[in-house]
Amino acid sequence: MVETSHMEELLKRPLYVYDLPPELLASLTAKTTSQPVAEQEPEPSPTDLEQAAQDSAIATSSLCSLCKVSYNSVQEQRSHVRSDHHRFNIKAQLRGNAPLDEAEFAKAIGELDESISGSESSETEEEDAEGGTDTTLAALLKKRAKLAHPNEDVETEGVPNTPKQPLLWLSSSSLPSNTSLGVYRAMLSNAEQDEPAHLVETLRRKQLAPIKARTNNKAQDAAVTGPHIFMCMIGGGHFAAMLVSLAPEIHRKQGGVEDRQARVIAHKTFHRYTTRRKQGGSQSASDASRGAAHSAGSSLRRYNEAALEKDIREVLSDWREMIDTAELLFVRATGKTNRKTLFGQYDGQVLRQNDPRLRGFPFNTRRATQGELMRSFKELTRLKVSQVDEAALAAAEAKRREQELKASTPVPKPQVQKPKLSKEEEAGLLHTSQIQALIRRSKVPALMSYITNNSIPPSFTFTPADSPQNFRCPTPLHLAAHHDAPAVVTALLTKAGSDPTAVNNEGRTPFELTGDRATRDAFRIARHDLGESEWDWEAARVPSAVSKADAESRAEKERKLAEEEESSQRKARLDRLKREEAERAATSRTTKSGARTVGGLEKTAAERRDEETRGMTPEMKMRLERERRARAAEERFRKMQGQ
Amino acid sequence: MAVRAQFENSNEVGVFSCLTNAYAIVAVGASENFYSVFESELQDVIPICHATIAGTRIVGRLIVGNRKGLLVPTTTTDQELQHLRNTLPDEVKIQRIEERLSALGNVICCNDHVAIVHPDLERETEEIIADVLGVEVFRQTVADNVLTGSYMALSNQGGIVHPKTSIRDQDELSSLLQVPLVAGSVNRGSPVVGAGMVVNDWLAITGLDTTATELSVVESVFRLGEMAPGGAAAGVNKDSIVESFY
Amino acid sequence: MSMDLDAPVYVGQQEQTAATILCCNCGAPIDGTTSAGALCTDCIRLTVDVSQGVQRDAVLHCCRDCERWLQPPTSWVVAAPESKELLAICLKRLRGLNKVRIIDASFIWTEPHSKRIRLKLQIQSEAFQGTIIQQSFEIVYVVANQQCSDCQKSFTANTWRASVQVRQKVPHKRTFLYLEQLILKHGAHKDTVNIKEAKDGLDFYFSQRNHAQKMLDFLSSVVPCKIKKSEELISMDIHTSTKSMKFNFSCEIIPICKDDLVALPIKLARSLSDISPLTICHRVGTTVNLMDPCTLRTTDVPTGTYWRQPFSTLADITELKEFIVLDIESTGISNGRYLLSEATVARAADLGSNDTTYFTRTHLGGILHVGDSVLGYHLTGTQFNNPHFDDIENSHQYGSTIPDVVLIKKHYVRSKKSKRSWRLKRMAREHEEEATNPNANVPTNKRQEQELARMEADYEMFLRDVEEDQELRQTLDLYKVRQQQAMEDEMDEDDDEDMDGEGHAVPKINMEELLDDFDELNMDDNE
Repeated sequence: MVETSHMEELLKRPLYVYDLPPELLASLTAKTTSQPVAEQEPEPSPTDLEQAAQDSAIATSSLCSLCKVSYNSVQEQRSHVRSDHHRFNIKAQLRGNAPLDEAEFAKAIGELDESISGSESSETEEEDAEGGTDTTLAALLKKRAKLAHPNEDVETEGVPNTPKQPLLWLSSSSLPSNTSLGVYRAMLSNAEQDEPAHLVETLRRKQLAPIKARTNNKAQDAAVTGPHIFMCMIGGGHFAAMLVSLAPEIHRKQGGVEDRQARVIAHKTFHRYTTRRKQGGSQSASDASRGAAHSAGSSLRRYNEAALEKDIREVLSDWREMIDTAELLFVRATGKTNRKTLFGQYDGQVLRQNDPRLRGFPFNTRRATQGELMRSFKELTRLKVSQVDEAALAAAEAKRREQELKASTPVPKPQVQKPKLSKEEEAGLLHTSQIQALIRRSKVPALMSYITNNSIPPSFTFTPADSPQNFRCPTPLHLAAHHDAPAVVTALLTKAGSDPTAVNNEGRTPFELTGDRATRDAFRIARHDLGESEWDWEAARVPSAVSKADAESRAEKERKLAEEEESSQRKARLDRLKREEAERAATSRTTKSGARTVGGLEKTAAERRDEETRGMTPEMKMRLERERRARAAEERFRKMQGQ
Repeated sequence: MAVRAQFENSNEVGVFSCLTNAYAIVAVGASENFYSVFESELQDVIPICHATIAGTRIVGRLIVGNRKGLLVPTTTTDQELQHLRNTLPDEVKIQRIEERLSALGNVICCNDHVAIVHPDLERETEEIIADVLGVEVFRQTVADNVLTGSYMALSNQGGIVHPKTSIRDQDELSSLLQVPLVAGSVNRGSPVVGAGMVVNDWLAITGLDTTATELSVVESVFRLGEMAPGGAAAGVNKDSIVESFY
Repeated sequence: MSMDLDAPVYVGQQEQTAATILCCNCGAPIDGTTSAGALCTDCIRLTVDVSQGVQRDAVLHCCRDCERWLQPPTSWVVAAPESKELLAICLKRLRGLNKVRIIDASFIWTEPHSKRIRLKLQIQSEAFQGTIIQQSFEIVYVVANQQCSDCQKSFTANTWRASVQVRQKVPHKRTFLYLEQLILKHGAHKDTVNIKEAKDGLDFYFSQRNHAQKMLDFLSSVVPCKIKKSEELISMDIHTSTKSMKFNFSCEIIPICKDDLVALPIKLARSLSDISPLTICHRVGTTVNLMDPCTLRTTDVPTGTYWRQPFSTLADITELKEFIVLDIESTGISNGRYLLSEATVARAADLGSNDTTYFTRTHLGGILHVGDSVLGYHLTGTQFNNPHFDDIENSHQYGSTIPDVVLIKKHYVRSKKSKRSWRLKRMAREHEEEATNPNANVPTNKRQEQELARMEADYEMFLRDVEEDQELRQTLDLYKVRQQQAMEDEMDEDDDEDMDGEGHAVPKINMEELLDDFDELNMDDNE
């Protein structure tokens, strides 16, 4: 009891990643589950009871048509309607954007710096959490709006297909089971990120002894050599940069209370007037899009932009030594001009875009000020405490899985191997595009040579497994079957040794995707050629084998049959035409002989008219035409009166 | 029971009045004809309040309420608020809302249990709605239209939505709200059903132009033939009910 | 890159199109998501009339005289019946069409004398949001007569602004008859407000000065004439100095006609390439072309030269006498179609009374044969009161060269009522007398009777000229005579073949040269 109370005491204080209490540190274990989801079941509302009586007239809907999410009960529907996902989709729809399905939404949220669940999971601060989700939604919407622009944000640089959580979760045996501790992924180096299993060890390695604050400046030197990080923000004419030592500094306040503080080694802020008041955007952006303006303000801003750049670069070069030794570089610079200021090619460049230490802030940041940098630092280096009921979590997780399946998200298998196989992944992508193109064009020899040259295994699957086109056809064989390319199917089965029993995400084998007989025959021939023992053909749902000759002879027979049919039909039609012709001739002869005496070639009315009007002036033609029409009208009247 | 009325040559009854199970609010008009329609139907049953909101007569579009509460926009003057407070029953909570979308009647549609609101409504407003009106609040659209209050008329018995609402959307909404819904029109084909009529559990008032077909749809979906204030057995105006049989 | 692959299909995505609402008018169940308003299509058809704002009848104004249509406010447009232009005029008359979209418009045939034009119009308009209604209906136009401003002017006296007075001071009208044909051929009279016949010439009236100027340009390009201009101030705005004027152009044609005998002043004859002063006029173009019949030398008298030193004709064709060719012998000298010959002629009147014969040189060697009758001037028996001729007689050089007879043209004997298979168009004009006298067609007194007879004689003369002179004919438009008349003519022709003694047929005009006259063509003709 004492223990736990002590622990609770611990949790009340901010936990600094680099200076964790040793007892806590000792008990930490990494959580393997990807993400704790805090979803509370809504309590059944009393209104439902009243209305149960008239439920018969009330339609029951089991699918949200907007979000493509299905649900079983009214409660589920209501909680779905309340969810961020649904609200996001409604707003997206109103703005004319395509709604996202659940998986896409989860991914989009994951791309955001701040996770919804991360903030929502703290039940104690419901108010904040709700506010948090609102801003998340807003941020997400904003981001969607901007998506058209080429986005070179650091955060999106290595966008994995699976949501990459910005927080890594830890649990402690000394803490209640529903409490977990989060540390920002960005605080770890790339190498450390790649092995999340060793998270605790990494953390332990990172612990630093606090430094006693001194009044004289000699400690500076010690701090300079110690681990430190560089943070900078730039935007809208504001620039703030800071070098912070990771080792905390202990101040003694009155009453002997120890106070740990971040030790700022150096900091600098600038502000220049560069953004166009009331219009927004930087002057250089405006110049680029609309041509240079010649107002006093514009020249002022242009000067200020240049001056700001110069100032910033000076500061950076002053700090070069410290920056070069910094553990991590947190940089927030959005927009072309801002990035150019920091990363542009210039003499004595300090920051480089491809620096592995480079990080973005994994949460929303405000105007670039010293205070904001400080806040960001604290945010980054504090452990997040989240209290989640484990059982509820598991249930929620199970449900999420289930829904994911239902919403036909890809199988989560590639998610696991994803992060460490980035190189292979790339190759896979390349192969995918090549092979798909070849199959689509039925280039059998090219495909075979490609497969052998690149030594692609028979079990190769197309890599962005969650993309819709790879949903139905995850393997080359599926794709070939789907495209009805018998030659490719034969080649893949017999030469490349593709597995006909592989199933796609709908649980269908390649054979079941075929659209015509030729392709189906290709499978059966392959079964014949390869033999019964090669694959489990029943599982592949390929019917009994036929030999190539058989298939050909059958096709030939069918062709002949069809031809015969065709010819007999054509003959019948010809006969019918002839008969009709004869009949028509007979009838017309009788009528003609009564009506007119003209023999020989009958002229059509149009021809006769042409002949009559030949050689006439246009006026005469018109006169004739009018007369003719008048006669026709009179004829009509006569007929009408006659009836 | 469904009746037709007209406010100074306008059919948009829902613009100039607001009707709930506990009270009715009618705009101050030059002639009292409109008011007398309410009076003849509701006298001695629920209080009827003559009011303006922010000096305008479009009270039905600016306020929203149900049996439990009433929400008025921030533009409502103190005097008007006081007048409402004095007229309405004490158990009705009245709350002024600071909301950018100040025509609350257009952006909120509610009965005594649920409310469908404009998706862009502020989070605080949503909470106030839930608190004051005692309803579950859902951000939804009606026939892809954000003005839920304008395009939907809702009572505890049923609801009418914009005529262009697809069956699927109707089903979804109906399932969400747990009331039967139909698509329909009022005032001879007008799709603004919310603004064209007012309804509570036993009375609907529509514009004078409403056709017999439309009225029959209204009566059937709101179950107006079967119900009376507080149930037919309440006896408050039993006599008048009996009278109306002859 | 792989867009052709199927996306996963969601169950229940397909839209049911079942009835969702009741039509607000008739209660029929309809699909609300696709319907207009809340009305079923039948009710929309019954209740919505998009053509409400469009007029159903209108009045079109047409000028009876020029058959042009009024395009408000003031312009008059030529438009054939059932033409695009007329359709445009009709549609422009309708108010309210700008609110709808016109899909189709066509005429419904009506009798022209019904004075109605019926138009079938198909329009589209948006009845409700997202519902377009197409409707077709008929519009009846009443054609009202209204005189156009131009016709008004031409029918009202004293509305002209400029006049051209063409004069030739000769006793006959041949030049004007020729001029009339030229004007007709070139359509130079199109702009005239009025044409009046005056003594010795014609008056053309125009509503605008530049029209008169155009006429003058035309005249000076076809006849030798002198133009004088005068103007009269009608009113003037002293503030803006804008004046309104009347312009009079006097155009005097040189009074020398074809086949006239001319005695040139000797000095002038010398300056005109030293031609013999006694000449005949063989052609009148923009200049007067003179020829010495004894040498076939020709010369031109330009207009300017003439008017500096005017001279008159010695004798005109009224003084021609008939001669009979007794002997003719070519000299071999030729000039164009003329062939110089030496001929012995006797007066036709003298035959049988005396044996006086005359020896002369003539340019008609090509067409004259022994025994032909020929017209010529008889100089020996004639007393001329002409100072220039006197000078010639008195001069040493030319006195002795004056021939006894100057032959002008071959004479063909014609029957009195010769019917021609061709005709010329005439210009509508009013005589000055007619303008004052309402029943001018009936000659009231002797003078008028004489006038009329002379006119007819002149015209006949002109027609014969046309027949005989190919060159002249080419400048004119000749038309076929109407069928009925032509048939009568053919019947007539059988009994009186125009043959003179030697069997020389009167020159006839080939049918190929004639034009069809379309003015008279109408529906009756074909039946």
